[in-house]
Amino acid sequence: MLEFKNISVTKNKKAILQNVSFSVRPHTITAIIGKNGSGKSTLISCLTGESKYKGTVFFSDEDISLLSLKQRSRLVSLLPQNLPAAPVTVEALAEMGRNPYTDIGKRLSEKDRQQIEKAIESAGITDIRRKRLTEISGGERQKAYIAMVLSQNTRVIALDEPTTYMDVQVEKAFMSLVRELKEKHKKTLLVVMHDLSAAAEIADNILLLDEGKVKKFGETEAVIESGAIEETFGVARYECELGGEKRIIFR
Amino acid sequence: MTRKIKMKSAYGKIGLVLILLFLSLLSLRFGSAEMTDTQFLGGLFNRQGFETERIILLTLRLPRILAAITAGAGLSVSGVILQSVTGNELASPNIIGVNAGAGFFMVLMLFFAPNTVYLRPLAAFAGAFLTTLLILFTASKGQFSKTTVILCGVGITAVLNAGISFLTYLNPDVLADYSFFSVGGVAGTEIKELILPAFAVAFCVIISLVLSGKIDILCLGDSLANSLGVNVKLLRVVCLAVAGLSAASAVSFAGLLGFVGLVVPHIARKITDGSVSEMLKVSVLSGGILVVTADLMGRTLFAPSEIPVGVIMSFVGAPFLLYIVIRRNKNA
Repeated sequence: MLEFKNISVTKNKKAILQNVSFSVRPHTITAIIGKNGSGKSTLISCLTGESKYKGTVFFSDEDISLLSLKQRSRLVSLLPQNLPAAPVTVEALAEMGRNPYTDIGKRLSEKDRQQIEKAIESAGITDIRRKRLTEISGGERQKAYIAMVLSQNTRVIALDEPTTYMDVQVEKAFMSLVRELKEKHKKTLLVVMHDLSAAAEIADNILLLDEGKVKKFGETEAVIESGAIEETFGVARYECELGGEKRIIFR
Repeated sequence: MTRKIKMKSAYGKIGLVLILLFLSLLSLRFGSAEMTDTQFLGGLFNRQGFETERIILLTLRLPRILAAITAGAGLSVSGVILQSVTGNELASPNIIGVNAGAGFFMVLMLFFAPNTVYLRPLAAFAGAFLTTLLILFTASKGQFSKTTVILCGVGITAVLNAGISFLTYLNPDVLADYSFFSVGGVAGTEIKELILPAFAVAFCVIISLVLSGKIDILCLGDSLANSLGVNVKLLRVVCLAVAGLSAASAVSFAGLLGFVGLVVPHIARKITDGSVSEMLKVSVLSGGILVVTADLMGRTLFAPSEIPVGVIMSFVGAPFLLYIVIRRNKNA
């Protein structure tokens, strides 16, 4: 169980987050939605230790602010908005995922190697493992980063609007990878999302932030039914059937 | 890395070592004083009757070659670290104030204590390294991002350059000595001047090799590096200090050698897999090769006149940089 308790963040005398409290069950996807500037990314940065905050984040009843940087990076991994096309190979990227487990100047252990191999295989990028990130397509790059996260092997994965720079097709494929992280790899995911319809489709829970406060939090259906999303974003909700499945679309 | 790639990169490095040895031998053989092969071998193997040649080889040419290798290695290592840590391919020791700092202290010495020739390398070193630390300190007052470091470097460098101009304007005699230093060269370097800088450069190479795995991760950006367990700020401070130390050591005896720290990392990036540890190893060797070559050209092309390494470096280095840039744009 991951629990945020009274999280407040102030930057340049401006309150970014105010008393944000919610908890996340293991092996679920929680979508964090809200307008620009509502504090979504800041909330993620509290989890990864990048922002200073008041309040407590508990993981299995343990205050994660007491963890060292290394311990924290064995618990929470991050996929940011922009997945950089760094001049490293896919394989080297997956190896970087093992950094939290290797000491300075030490080589990777046999166990690290196995984890990396497993991650590359799971992400389905064995054939491009020697290519640099600069030489592969956007879709392949996502998979490379998924391999990095899998090799980091954390129980919690935070995704900060990972589909911002993706086109529709690539975004769709990425969302199914995210779902796979939950279902196949049993990860707990916190995903900052701007696409409300995608959030409705993929998330188990929705956290709706408004001006740094929790406007609504709960199971996806309950949050949708409450009408809070329409109110916050000024959108309309449509229900339709696609391939026999009920879909909710916000426009 | 597969065994095949590893072998390939090992052969590459052995190749570079051989090239460096070959060029060093050429440098030893040719110079402003002409020698026959017999004289050269006689001097080299300490045969009787070749004492003059031996002195030329051991006290003039050999220290010069070692100085060129040390300077090339020191500046290149510094360049690799800086470009990796700041994520900026235009970064070179200049951006952390190495040149401006060394230059300013040198001008101070020339201005206030013109007769203390033996203290000049120390002044250059202190100026370069202290300026690096000052830039780091200033940047740490801000966000300490890559941009902050670069901007602080630009600001402080500007102040120091103004100081250099001011002092040389007040006392034009200083300008002559300073311009010799600012061009950069390894002529007349003595072995004892080289010992400390060489150790410092070796120390920097080892430290940066140990840290190379972490430095690699910085290229993913600060947020990702942090989430991968890298203490970004600490690593950046250590790396920049090491880069400053390495370049300052080179500058202390070789003057303001332009382009080495900028060009060599680019070459290394082209011929390696782009990982910091590979780039470091290749840069140490190719930095040495570049400066030894430039020095060899400088003292043979227009013999008996000598052209300082710095001048040749810019003549050769700048077009080479342009070539890399144009070729990359074509590929992109």
